[in-house]
Amino acid sequence: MTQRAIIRPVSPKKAVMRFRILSASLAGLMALQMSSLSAQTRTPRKIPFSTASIYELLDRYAGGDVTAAKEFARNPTPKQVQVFEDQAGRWVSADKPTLPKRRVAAASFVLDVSREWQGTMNWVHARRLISWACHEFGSSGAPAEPGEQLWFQASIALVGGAEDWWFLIGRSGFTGGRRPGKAPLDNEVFHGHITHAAARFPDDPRFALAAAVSLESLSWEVGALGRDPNRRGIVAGEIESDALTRAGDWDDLHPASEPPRRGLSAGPGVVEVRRVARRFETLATQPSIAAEAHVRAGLVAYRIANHEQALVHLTQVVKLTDDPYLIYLSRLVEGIVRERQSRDADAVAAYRAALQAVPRGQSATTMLAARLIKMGRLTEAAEVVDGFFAAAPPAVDPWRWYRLGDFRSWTSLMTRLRAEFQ
Amino acid sequence: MTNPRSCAMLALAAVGALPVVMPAQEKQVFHAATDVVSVSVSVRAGRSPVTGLTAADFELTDNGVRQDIAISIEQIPIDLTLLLDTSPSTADAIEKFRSGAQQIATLLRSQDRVRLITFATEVTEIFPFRTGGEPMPVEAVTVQGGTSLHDALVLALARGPIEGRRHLVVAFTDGHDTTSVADGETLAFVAARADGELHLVLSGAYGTDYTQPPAVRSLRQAAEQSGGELHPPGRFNSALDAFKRVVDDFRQSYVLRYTVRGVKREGWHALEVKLKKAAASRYTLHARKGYFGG
Repeated sequence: MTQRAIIRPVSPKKAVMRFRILSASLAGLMALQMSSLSAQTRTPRKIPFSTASIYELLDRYAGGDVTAAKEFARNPTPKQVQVFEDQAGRWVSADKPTLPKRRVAAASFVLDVSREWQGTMNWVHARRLISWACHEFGSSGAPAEPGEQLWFQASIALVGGAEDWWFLIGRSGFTGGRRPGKAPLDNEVFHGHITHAAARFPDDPRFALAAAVSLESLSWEVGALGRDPNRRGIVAGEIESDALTRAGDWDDLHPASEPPRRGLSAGPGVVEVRRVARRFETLATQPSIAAEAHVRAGLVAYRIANHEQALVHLTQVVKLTDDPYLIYLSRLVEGIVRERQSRDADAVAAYRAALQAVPRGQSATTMLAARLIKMGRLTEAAEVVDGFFAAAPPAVDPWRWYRLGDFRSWTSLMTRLRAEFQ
Repeated sequence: MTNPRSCAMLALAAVGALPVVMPAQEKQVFHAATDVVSVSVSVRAGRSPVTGLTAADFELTDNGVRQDIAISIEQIPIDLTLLLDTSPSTADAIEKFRSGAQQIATLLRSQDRVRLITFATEVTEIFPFRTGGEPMPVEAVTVQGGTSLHDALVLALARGPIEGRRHLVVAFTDGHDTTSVADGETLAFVAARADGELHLVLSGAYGTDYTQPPAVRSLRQAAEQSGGELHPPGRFNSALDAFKRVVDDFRQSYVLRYTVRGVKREGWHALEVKLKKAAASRYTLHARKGYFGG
């Protein structure tokens, strides 16, 4: 008897089903083999902070123990950041009566952690956590309160200290960019952190000033490409005349129109620098920020070779404030403008006035000594420098802070912020 | 009496206006009414100093007017400013400097003086001028962020002229400025007018910088304006090696001295020094490019 293979007809639907079952089985088998292989060669990854430990850290921090933030900041991983995002929100809402304070505490914790990551590769985690905290405030539906306002000021100061200007103003401003996703970080990077601050506190001009400072910082290398390796010096910030002329052509031809939109890699140009100048001029009419706006308007005017306008702004500062930081900067820039005008004696007087505001400031000492040497007054220059070196440690130079936005206020802002929840 | 207007001239006179026959260090070198200018000139054939030259071998013009010169090699005390870049990019070079610092000190003579200035973002004088030949306290040298190279050079060069002493500034750096307020143009201008010879020893931690002319052009210009030199990465094996070469050269340099004739004493004086010898094209000559006449 011959055996006959029994071949039963199978419907197409059943065939597909069988194929799927077979595929799934194979995939499962492979996954099992892979995982057993993996178990042989790797130890399971340990998440450094569990739910309980995140709660404990936040409890300690809210109680005044800032070292809790430092502990969290040590050896971070993306998983750890994700665990924090998941658990910190629950910690905030765990106690309804104190919820607003707990929200500020968790957000403040994020800033202290981020401070530890400033200037390191871990700044990428800081961006994500700041976005998370910003989202916590924005999505809460709660009315805007002083603690939140302080948090925004401190966070902007911190991000300025990291010179992460694109994070502050967002990608949409220059190029449109891609649409934001649902994650808080996507949203932040697209719209810009300051946009969210300004939306919550529309009457606070400091956020408008911070946005203008971000644009100013992004525009720093405009017109200086290839001229000098030192990109940070005040003198190196001056835009070359041919670059100004080229940009002037555009303004003349298209006075009312927007400048051509550039790719992100190109960054801002002279037209944007002029726009920044106008922004600072407008902001200088706001009394609470007028002095700083005048300093910055003066420096931007110098950069675009508008020396008389620069002096108009700079000489206002001393009438508006007694803050040594701002007086020093205004006098320092004034000295540089006077040098450009070949008014050497006035330049020397301005640098000396800067040093009266902040004795032994390095930038004014350097500029004053250089000017005196150029004038052939070597002995006088040596006296200035001897005075600079005589006392240690040297005074903190305001110019070091200038390029870091409001980072100089970081310590005082955080002290006030912590007082909001402790 | 010295004319008050000639204070700047003193700066140059102090470079070596000693009678050739006298021991230099104990004398007041410039107290005559005449405007005597001294110019330090180093002449090398490859890596070796050229010795045995006479006044007849040189030609010097002051603002385009040829001057009558006398020549000497003089043992004038040195005021040495060591300038050390302590930014993180030069960490290896700092360690080498620390280990060689005491040997550097032994190369100085008791009549010489030395000070150490470090710079990252901030410029700090670790110790002021002290007697040469003694151990240098370098424990306080630490790595910090930023590099204010231009500012540090301006501050180091801003030393008043001191009679009977020559100022030598030797900077160890990678040449990569990031935080100065002064630009390269300002630095070159200062180096040309200050009373000091500047040598920049590039460590090469940022080796690529040397291949980028804008990054080193202003530095080289500053060094050459002062009569010094920019030493590219790889020229020396160590800080000690570099220092020894620079100081040896400085000590073996010729001092050309002349009484200014045929030009106004005020204002900037452009100097040009040439060798008349037929073999001059094979030699490298370094001399400062000018001085202020008050």
